[in-house]
Amino acid sequence: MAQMRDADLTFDCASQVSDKNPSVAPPLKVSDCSQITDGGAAVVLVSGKYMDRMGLDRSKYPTMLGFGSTTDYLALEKKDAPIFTTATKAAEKAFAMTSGLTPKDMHGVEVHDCFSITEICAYEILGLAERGKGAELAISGATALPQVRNEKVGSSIPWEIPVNTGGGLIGDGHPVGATGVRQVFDAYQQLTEKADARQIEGCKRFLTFNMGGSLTTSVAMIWGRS
Amino acid sequence: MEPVYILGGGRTDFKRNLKKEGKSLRHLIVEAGQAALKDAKIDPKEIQAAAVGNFNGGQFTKQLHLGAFVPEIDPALHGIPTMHTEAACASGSLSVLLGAQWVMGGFHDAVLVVGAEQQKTMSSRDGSDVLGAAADFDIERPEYGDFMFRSSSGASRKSTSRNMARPSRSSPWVAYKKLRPRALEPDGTNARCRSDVRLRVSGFR
Repeated sequence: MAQMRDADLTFDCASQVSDKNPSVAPPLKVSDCSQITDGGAAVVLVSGKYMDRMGLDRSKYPTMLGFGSTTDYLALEKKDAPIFTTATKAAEKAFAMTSGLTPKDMHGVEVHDCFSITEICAYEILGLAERGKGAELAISGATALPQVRNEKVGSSIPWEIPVNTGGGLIGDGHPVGATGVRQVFDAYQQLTEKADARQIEGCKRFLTFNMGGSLTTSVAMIWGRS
Repeated sequence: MEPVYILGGGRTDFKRNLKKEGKSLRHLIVEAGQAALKDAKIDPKEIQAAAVGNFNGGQFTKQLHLGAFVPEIDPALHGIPTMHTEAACASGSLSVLLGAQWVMGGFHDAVLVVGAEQQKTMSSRDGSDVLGAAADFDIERPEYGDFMFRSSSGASRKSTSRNMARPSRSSPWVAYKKLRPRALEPDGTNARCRSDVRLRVSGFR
């Protein structure tokens, strides 16, 4: 289902500027950017009462554990880049709603990687990495799906936190209005062990982070299954 | 607060080009919605409300009022309340939150949340102008040009020199603002990429 599934792009090709992977905005190359996409995604949300009325086992379905949504000024000039205090508050609110969960308790994450740099910013906004250490987390290989982790990414992995196992916005595609719903659909698939080759083993808690504009509207949601 | 569960979901193949198929945004809404209802194994009669996330169907496809496509997902959805949420690339998450809050607040027991976007309807350059609606169109577009990256055609010399006079704005953010897209053709496409690969270079969207 991923837009770039037939793309002829190796790790080496994505790592350097070439005729095949030209520079767009140094240091960003074509492979650092999400593409124009046509797509739709949908989820059905129900109440606990509905589950009981239908005789469905609540423990078998993902539930929302917390959410945070914030809106910053529209213009990039008015934001405190690259800290993004307002976007960070969305993540903080989501975690505050849970019973003491922290970023380290997540088993998988979907972040908004419209560009590769945005994913690194998101690591720091979400607390997956300390400020200024987002790139190190990516290089360490901690965010790769363990079963497909490339040997070329680092040797010491601080902790495992697979991110965007379906390819994210760059690999899977970015149909703008569908992306936030697609992320939640991915969370559902992971938490119900329906993600096939993308499956994170033993996935019980999942974080989705979707943002609009230059980190203007930020939405973090935490999902879990008992 | 009433707990919220995900009963099921679905999506379309993101590699498709709807225009080439003779289809449009409504088909994305209908196909994704039907896939989710089927996966959830829910009787469509149980769905009490629907939210549709979409950023810019108005400019990409000249179609809005997207909640009105919900009854086309299934006739049983005819008549239920619908809402459309928009916040650029966060449009979809806002629909999920809206649906979740309907459930949390006890207003509805089962809701359908759909997100959809059809973008391959125009040239890359026109598309980047449409994506510009996600940023501050009045202030940022004149400063950064059609693409937030394009300084040669759209941005004024004055604004370019203003950016360059700010060494304190180090980090990749400067790259976003000062780009000279050598690799891009005048129409915004990249001649050396596959023809269907068009760049989304209008900033963080």
